[in-house]
Amino acid sequence: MSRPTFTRRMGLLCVLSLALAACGGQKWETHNITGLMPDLKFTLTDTRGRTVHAGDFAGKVNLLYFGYTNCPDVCPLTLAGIARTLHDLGPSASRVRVLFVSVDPKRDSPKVLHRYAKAFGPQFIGLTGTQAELQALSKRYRVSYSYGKPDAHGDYVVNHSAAIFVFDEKGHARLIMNHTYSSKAMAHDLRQVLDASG
Amino acid sequence: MPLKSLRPGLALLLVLSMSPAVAASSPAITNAWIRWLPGGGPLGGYFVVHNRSDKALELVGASGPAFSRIQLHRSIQVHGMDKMIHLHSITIPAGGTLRFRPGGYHLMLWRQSPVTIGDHVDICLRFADGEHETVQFRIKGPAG
Repeated sequence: MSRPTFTRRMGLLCVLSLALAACGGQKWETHNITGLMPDLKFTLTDTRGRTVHAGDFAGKVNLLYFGYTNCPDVCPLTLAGIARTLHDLGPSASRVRVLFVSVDPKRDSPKVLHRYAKAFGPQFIGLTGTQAELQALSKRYRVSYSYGKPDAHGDYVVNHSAAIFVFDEKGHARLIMNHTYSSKAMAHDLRQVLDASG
Repeated sequence: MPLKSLRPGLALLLVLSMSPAVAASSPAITNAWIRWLPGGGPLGGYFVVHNRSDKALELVGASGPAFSRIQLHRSIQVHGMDKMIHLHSITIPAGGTLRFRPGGYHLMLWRQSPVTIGDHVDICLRFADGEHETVQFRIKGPAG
């Protein structure tokens, strides 16, 4: 291929991608899952012991993350990353809520879960449920969780999904991200979801 | 600064570098910190260990007065699942550096007395050759 032809082709590609961008083809730094996962739906228990449903959380962009409070490494890493992302979002962060769903209801009492979630910011809400409720929610988003064998002290690890699911203000699934993304990348994508929600 | 005033410092540096008391082979441990979390659950501890010797270094345990138990752990992600593995030893190759950081290698620490954000706590790291290093870990907030 001669160089002028190559340059012309590259130029054409640029024009095409610009045209796509102008037509609303947004670029995402994390994973866009619009239309690929079901809307947010669950029955769980909040940290006051009340039964709550997804509808109670409508009207905000919701981030859904599964974890447990005896998790000293990855859960706080993920929640701290979300906290930095909300900080980067500035005033728009008030339109975002973080649902931290404990898949360890045996150890995570409402009080413990409340304190753990709130340690990362006012938008962080602790939720948990019965095994049936937690399994229904996990299956809905094609993730799972499992418990390790208890040690001599009765401590056990919980294997859980790394994914942070993002739902827009209408409850439609929009993004999957995780702690390996920078807060800048997560804020970029959340801003696009917030802008689209108006 | 006049050159003359530098001399005592230089002399001290020269003495220290020749002194057998400063074992060039002892591991250098930096950036030691612990993430505080509310409640009584375990905490994660992090540091960077640089093995300055020409032999592999094997970290086999840790202990500290504020903690009833400390384990060596590693977080791994398998098929989108976060798992945590308990390790009995971690090898740092000769001349190598190993970073204990969130989402990877870490200490898992069970509190026996409360620790406060901003404090420093002593933790003794034990190696297979019988050597140990006491390091001050800074307690940081939940968001790091």
